Amino acid sequence: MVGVVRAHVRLMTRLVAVSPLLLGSTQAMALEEDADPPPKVVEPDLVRGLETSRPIEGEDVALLLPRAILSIPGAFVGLLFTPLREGLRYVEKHHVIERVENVLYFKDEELGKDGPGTAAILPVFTLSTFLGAQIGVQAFYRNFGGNGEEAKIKATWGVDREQVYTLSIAADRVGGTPLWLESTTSFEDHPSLRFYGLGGDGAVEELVRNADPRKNSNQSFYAEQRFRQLVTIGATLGEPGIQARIGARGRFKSYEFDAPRGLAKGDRALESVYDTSRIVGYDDEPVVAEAEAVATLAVHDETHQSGHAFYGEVFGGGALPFRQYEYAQFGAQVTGYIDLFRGNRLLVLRAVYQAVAGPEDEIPFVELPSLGGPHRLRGYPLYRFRDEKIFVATVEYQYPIHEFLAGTLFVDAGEVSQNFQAMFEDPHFHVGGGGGLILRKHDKVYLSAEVAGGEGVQVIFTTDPLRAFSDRDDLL
Amino acid sequence: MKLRRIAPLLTASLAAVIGCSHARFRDQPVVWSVDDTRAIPEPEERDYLIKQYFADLFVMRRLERALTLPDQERAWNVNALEEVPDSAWFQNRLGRKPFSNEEIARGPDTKGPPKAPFTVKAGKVGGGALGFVMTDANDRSFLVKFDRKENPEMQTGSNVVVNRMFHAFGFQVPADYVIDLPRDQLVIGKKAMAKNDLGEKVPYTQAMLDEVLAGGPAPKAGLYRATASEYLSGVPKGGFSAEGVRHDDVNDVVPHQHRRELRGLRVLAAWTNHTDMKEDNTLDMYIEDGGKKYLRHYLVDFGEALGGHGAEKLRKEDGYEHFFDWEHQPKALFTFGLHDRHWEGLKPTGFIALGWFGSDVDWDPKTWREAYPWFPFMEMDRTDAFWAAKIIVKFTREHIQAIVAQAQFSEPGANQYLVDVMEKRKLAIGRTYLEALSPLDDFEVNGDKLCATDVGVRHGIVRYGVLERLDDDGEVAESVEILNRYANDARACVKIPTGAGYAVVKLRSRRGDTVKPPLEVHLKTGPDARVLGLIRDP
Repeated sequence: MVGVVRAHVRLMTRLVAVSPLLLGSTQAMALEEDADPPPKVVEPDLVRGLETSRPIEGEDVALLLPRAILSIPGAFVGLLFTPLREGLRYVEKHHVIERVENVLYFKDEELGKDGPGTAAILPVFTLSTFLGAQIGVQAFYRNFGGNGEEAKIKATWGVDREQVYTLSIAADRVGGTPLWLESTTSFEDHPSLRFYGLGGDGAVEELVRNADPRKNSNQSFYAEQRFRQLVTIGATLGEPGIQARIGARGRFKSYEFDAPRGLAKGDRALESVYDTSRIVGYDDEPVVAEAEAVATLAVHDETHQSGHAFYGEVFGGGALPFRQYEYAQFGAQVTGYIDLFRGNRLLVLRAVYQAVAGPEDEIPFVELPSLGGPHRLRGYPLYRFRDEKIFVATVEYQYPIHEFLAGTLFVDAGEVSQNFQAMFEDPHFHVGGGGGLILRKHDKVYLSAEVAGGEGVQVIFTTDPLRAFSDRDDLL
Repeated sequence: MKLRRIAPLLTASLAAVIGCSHARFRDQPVVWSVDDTRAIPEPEERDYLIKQYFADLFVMRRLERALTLPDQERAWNVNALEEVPDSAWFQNRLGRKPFSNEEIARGPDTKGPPKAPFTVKAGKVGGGALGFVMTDANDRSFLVKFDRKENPEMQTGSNVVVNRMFHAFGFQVPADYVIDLPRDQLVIGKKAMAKNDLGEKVPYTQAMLDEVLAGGPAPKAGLYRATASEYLSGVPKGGFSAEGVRHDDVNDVVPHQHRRELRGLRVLAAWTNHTDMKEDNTLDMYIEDGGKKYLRHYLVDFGEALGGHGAEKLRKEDGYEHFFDWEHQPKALFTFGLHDRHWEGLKPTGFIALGWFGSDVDWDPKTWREAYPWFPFMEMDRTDAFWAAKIIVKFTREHIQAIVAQAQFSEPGANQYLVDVMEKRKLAIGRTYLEALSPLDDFEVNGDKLCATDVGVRHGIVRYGVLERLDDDGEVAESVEILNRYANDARACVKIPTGAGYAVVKLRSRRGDTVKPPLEVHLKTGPDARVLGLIRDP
């Protein structure tokens, strides 16, 4: 609208300016003989010193109609942006964010939120493929020893009525020493988790009742409540650039399973599809205690001159002789980041193997590793394939878009099997692929948002999709 | 009046309306100073609200502008010679008169650096750099800012160098100095105040001062290197907008995006890599001058020019892409990294105080981008760029050396390197923007001749040129060789009509087989012949 008005005004100005010509006057064309001192002016046309105003450009005439048409969406956009502008003005002018922070944070006035001993009670909004959208509240006490320590209590509730309550304390380097300590206690209530049977058969057969989970791969749902206590003690070695962690971890877990709550129309409960007596642990509400050793190694160029990097992780352990379950579990991941160009076009190659071993009837189904979801086999829903052994390989290409944004293209291929030999003798790989965006800073990934195709289309939100075991303690 | 008599007049009039007319200049002296210092009532202080500012800059205002289908308008505030007259915004300095090395290095400094002892009066508000406000022994007030720990001398050095360059170019800038602060000469004033996160005033404490001093590089021999920017006289009224006019200032009649000095500033900013161009780095001061009170418009804070902004924000693309760049970044997204951005292959200079600045040996000023889009830069056309380039090429190597010496870089070779880089970039600007048009200037009627300087040859952008006068059919009527910059100051003359009247002389430059676009010089001919006006890019 402004453009159209401006063009009209300009047109009228030009018409007035050339009016002597229209009237046939020659006075305006005449050369003034007497030069005066420079006029004291500020108006642009007088400063320029032309006898006539600057002419209307042909472009202005040609654009008159398009400008008139676009003035309508222009007015709409202006109307839409007005409250946004005013809102932003209000927030900044009245220090709204700082005032809210002052209420929520207990911090050193001068050192701010990053100072030692900062505590806060904050609202939480999270988005993840596993838990969906969640809101909640958390209270934390951060950096109380001056070495990145954090104690946190958190409660979140999901749109599908999931509930997660967590109490944790973590420190990579307690008191500045190499001591690595973590303790997490949590209770979770999931009203409807997916179960697709056991094994790698991707074909979904017709719906049946009392099906054998090893022979039928139908989507079904069950409710799960779990209590978990996790303690890790170890050492963080090295410096940023090359860092290793070794440690021992103890885990106590207690499960209860039930019929799903709040099922959508057409969805079926696990009990209505499968013979639950063939699903180890489902009817028993298992309680397990585990111990394992874990080691990780991360290597990258701290100067960011090169994109070459490596990440490796191994763990091994098993269930302690406690109640009726007994099994061993182990896994390994190797990920190589190969700098293809300029330090920021990266080819990422990843291989992941995870296994649980023991008598089949002593391994609760929830302890079986699974494929699907954001970290292991993108393009397939979480828990899509479960069995005693899983293998995933990834080829991913990462490229820069913005200083805080990178793009990805990837292919994941994975397989599950009851034993190691079968996995490679008669492979049935499931393949998923897609692309996405990574929101990051130079030294930190904030969010990865990806779209993957495999079995349907999956939208994935996570902080690091390539860490295969990063959600192991959440999922198992 | 019969139709036959009216028709030619009507046609001429309509042609004038749609832009096909031949412009004519009044017979009046060229306006070299505009009357924009009339007394005005005290205006409101404009807020700089960064969230709204950036939302507008990158999204909201950009979209609104796009929907108005803005076209390329010529700058509004030029005189008959397409020069920018002196005003509350701009003062012709190096563009119109020679500067000695001492003058150019002194810049806006009239009183010299601050003198100890120093008293902290207030905390610093806004901006990323650590600092405070202090007074010196003579009760002069200064804003003091420190370098970042990672890049000692970078921001203090950049600031003073670019401050002097902007001043010589013609902008209003504060008097900035590189100083060494002795800790024992620095005390906190009894009434010193700071502002907390909520904008509330709180007492300035020793802990605040300690944090500021600890936040920068370690002192050398007990001296903290800093920038001291002298407080401007008058009452601050906030930064000026990148678009439109200030409605409470009747002197402000030219929309800022159509001010040639703000459009041509893009070339100066490219030369000095002043990518941090935003409203926050401009300042309107309500001053009293000769009994009148009016607004004078300043550019401030050049600490993030040269390599400063890129180093502070870790932006290797600084100077090549906007923070959100709607051209390059979508291209990167959809070409999956195959689009090789020129800046990605650059290496740091090796000088901590200069960061990445100057490492691009193939630097092209046309590809330069400010970090945060500045609307006048989007409006810059080739006549604006020509005008700015014409001033920039007047900075001699000796001028640049004198200015760079102000930075007091301690790294051996840093001064020499920066001078070399500025020279190279200056030549690139000359080749790109001066040579885009016929680089003729300083027109003067001498008897029956019109003389002009080939500024491309004069300032060593090219070795020789040819001045051509064109006849009404656009054919070459006269041709004069300009052999080199030392012969007659690269000036040449062509014949003009001798009878009394009004004449339009079309001139152009030739470089070998390459001819430049012609320009028009409008003359009053006859006994008191003189140049009335210029249309550089008809």
